[in-house]
Amino acid sequence: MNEVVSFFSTTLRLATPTLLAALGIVFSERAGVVNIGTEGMMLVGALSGVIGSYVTGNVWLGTLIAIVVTVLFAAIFGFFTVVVKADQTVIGTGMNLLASGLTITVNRALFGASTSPPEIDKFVIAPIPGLSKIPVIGPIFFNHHILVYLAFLLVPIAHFVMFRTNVGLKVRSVGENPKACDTVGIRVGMTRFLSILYSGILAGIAGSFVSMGMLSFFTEGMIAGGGFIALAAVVFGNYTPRGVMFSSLVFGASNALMYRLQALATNVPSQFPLMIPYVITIVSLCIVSRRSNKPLGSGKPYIKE
Amino acid sequence: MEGLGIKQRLQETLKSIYFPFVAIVVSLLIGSVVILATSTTSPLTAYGHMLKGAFGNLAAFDATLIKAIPLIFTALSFSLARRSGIINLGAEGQFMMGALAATAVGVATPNLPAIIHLPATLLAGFLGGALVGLLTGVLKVRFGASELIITIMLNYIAKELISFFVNGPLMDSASSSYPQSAPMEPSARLYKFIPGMNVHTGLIIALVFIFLYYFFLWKTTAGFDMRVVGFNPSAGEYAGMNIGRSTIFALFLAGGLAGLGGCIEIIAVQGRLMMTSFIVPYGFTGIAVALLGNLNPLGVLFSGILFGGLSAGALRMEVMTRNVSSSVAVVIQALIILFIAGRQMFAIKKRYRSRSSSGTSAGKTVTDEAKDDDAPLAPATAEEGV
Amino acid sequence: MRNKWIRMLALALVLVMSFGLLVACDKKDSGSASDPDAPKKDVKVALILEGSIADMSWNATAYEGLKRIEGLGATIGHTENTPVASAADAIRAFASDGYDVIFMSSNSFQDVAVETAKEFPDVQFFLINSAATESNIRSFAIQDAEQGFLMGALAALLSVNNKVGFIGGLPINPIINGGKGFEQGAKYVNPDIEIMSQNTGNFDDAVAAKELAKQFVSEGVDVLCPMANQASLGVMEAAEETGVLAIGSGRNQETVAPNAAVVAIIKDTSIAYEAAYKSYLEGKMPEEILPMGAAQGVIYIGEYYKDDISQDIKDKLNDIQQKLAAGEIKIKLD
Repeated sequence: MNEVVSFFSTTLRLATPTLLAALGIVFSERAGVVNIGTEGMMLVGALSGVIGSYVTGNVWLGTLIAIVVTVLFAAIFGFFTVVVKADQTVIGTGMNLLASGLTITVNRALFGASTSPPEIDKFVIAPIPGLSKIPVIGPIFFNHHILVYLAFLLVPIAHFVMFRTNVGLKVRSVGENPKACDTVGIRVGMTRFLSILYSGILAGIAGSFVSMGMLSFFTEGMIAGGGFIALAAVVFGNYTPRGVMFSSLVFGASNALMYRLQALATNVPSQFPLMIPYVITIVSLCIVSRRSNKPLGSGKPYIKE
Repeated sequence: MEGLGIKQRLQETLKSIYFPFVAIVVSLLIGSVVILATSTTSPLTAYGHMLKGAFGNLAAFDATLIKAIPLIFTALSFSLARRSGIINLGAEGQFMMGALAATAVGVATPNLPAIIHLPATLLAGFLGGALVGLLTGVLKVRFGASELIITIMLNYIAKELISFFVNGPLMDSASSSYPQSAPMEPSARLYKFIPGMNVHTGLIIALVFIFLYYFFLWKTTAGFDMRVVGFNPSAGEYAGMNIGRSTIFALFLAGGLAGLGGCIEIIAVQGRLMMTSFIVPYGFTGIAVALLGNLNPLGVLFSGILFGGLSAGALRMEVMTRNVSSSVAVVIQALIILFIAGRQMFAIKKRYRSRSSSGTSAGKTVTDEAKDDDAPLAPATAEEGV
Repeated sequence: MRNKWIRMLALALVLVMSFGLLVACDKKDSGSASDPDAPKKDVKVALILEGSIADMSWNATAYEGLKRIEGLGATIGHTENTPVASAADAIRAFASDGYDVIFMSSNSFQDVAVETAKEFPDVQFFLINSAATESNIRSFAIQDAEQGFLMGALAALLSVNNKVGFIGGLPINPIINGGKGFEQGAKYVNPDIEIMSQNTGNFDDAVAAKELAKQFVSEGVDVLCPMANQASLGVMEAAEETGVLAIGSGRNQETVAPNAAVVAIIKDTSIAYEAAYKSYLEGKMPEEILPMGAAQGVIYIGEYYKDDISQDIKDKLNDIQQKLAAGEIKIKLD
């Protein structure tokens, strides 16, 4: 029983950064922006969160600073893709390289070559009073960092906003048919730009969760593909918040499974469980791509004629 | 084009170097702000060391050339795919799989004469990458799956496969339990060929493939079809071209080019496959090289050398200044990608237009150039996103 | 096509010229700044690192070693995040800049170092954890097994459940030897001890190390011992969160586990660097590989972080350390 509890609790924890980032990407994707730069945004969020927490001594202020910095970083992406109308994929790749170079440079300049991490305020486990005492269910669902609860609470909210509000309708139509939107007076560029900033907010939180929730320090390159996994979660989740939650959980579970296999000292090479998310994303892409919710205007800058 | 006067030629020349030049200058300027903010060294001193380390003397240029070779291959890979209307973000993984396949052949068969072993290893490298490209192409054409996501996923799968092989089947039994393959057999390696320089014969192979890239795309029917499909798929379809086949073939070749680059990096430079063989993002840097070179054969050659110099120079910059991190070079590379991809922002609209419509023959030149150079880079040509 | 040739040549020309401009400017201002090209009389020592000096671990300690060497009066230089493909360039950059001693901090550099060192017969090379010995190359081998042995022994002394856990990083020789040492150390103290030992396959992924550690604890392990460079911090955090004990493998790992950390069995490679440099200064460098372990002061027991560790346990561990240093305990590595 203990093992089952630990497996599911680990799954939820590991799914959280993917879910947070993917809930941001799902909006920018729906608005027609291919956001390959999420990886870089998370990296920026992870470092700026640690710096913020180090300077202010408060993990929440640190997260706030991470959000602000990551949104500014996302604005660069928005500027190039929406204002300059450059190729989104190439700009996204450039943003990832930029984030990798900048975080190393800044980390070195601020913290130097140290053998110990700077001491920072970090997220602590916040058991929900009462609920966390329920056997089995409690430790699985109600004994986590606050950001874990927040990420999952955000799913129904994101679903409501996307499918039941004007904002969601705008975002979806801008991705589906920018030209028609333009003719009825929806500002295509602005909608896309704002959805990029929104994905920046969530990537910043996701990055902070990795550096201050799962761990309490920053190491260079610590996101290690997490942003691309989030992108995969959006594709595998077929561009809906609920689907994204499902795929984040599947990816989290495959990671938890790997740690489980390792702990049991089985002879399964750890590389194969690590491939699971990538393989099922490709397979699902092939199965659903004809019925995909991918917006028609995806990846194409909108140029007024 | 042949009938142009000196003045017009000069204009054309200026026009074609304008964007790369501005992108590089702006990136260096922003890079200097980063240097000012994070170190005590003057940016000019830092860049001076970088330049010396890249092109300062024969030894520096030697190092630059060695660094340029893998980038030229990944850049050709991106360029070829882009010319056919595909964004190949998979050069990273294709490069790794080319290296993996080449290693398997390069270590597994001792006592073969080099005349057989070396071509077999190079072929394995090409095929290792090409098969990954082929897989991408088939999935894209057969299932309509986006090549962007597929290539990104395949990059990570390739990374795990390398880790698996160097920790398992290909692990060197002699060096016990370091995650690396055995050293490549001497018969499967490339050697230096210019006295006094360390650059290896991979340089010649790179030059040959730059020529083949030019010859294939501009002098063969298959290449012409590919470019037409890339430029305007519906026109290609109308002309009776098989778009699916062209796409698959393009990805096969693009993957092969990247794979060959990975193979050469292992058999000429690193000597054996290691866990740490691919710390440098060869594939992604190749995108910057391709874009800066405007997807042209000679452009790729020159921008490859420039980027090789950036990386060789960054090392010297770090060694000499002692406090400027070589990661500044990564920042500069990234900025070059941003500014060259977003080069529209530097367009001097009024003048550019009036000039292009001035001369009588210039009109033809501009359309010609648009077809040759600008089209694959223009926004909105990605016929499919994620 | 000729047209394109001309264009490209012009492009190259402009690029070279713009760079040339920068150099010209550079000449002017370099007079006032410290000029690294100025002749120096003292010894110049360089360190080439594969990783980042901010990794709080292997590379950071190596860099500390370089700083120690600077303390002995040498002029130092380093380059970090150096991929294997650039190692030869790095060697050439330092050697042609007049460096006398070059340290290579990673085993991956061995092939390149042996090859490139031939070009610079007057430069002394030191390779860490390598087996190469050439006329101008000396290797030193960190005795990771001794560190593991001490960790294992202490873990066995502390464990209540009689179940201890070792978490390694990348399964390379140092870590594998550390794991073997750990097992033998634990068995040396208590032949009936249960041992869980696993490598995550990674030095960077602290999350992986942390999750694996938590799995160990859920299996009943009550003393955790990491040997995974910076990922070790993840193991320390896991111990703190699950309320078990942890034995660090480097200094400062306790900062993330104020309640769980007992002590660190320190493998201070910076001392090894310093010792190697001293042997160079004295001109006494034996042909064989230099061992760097308990006997050389490279591996030692740090200060206890917890007050409630009995003197009896401390004495037993000190005794084991002395026996290791004296060569009375031999660790089997096959």
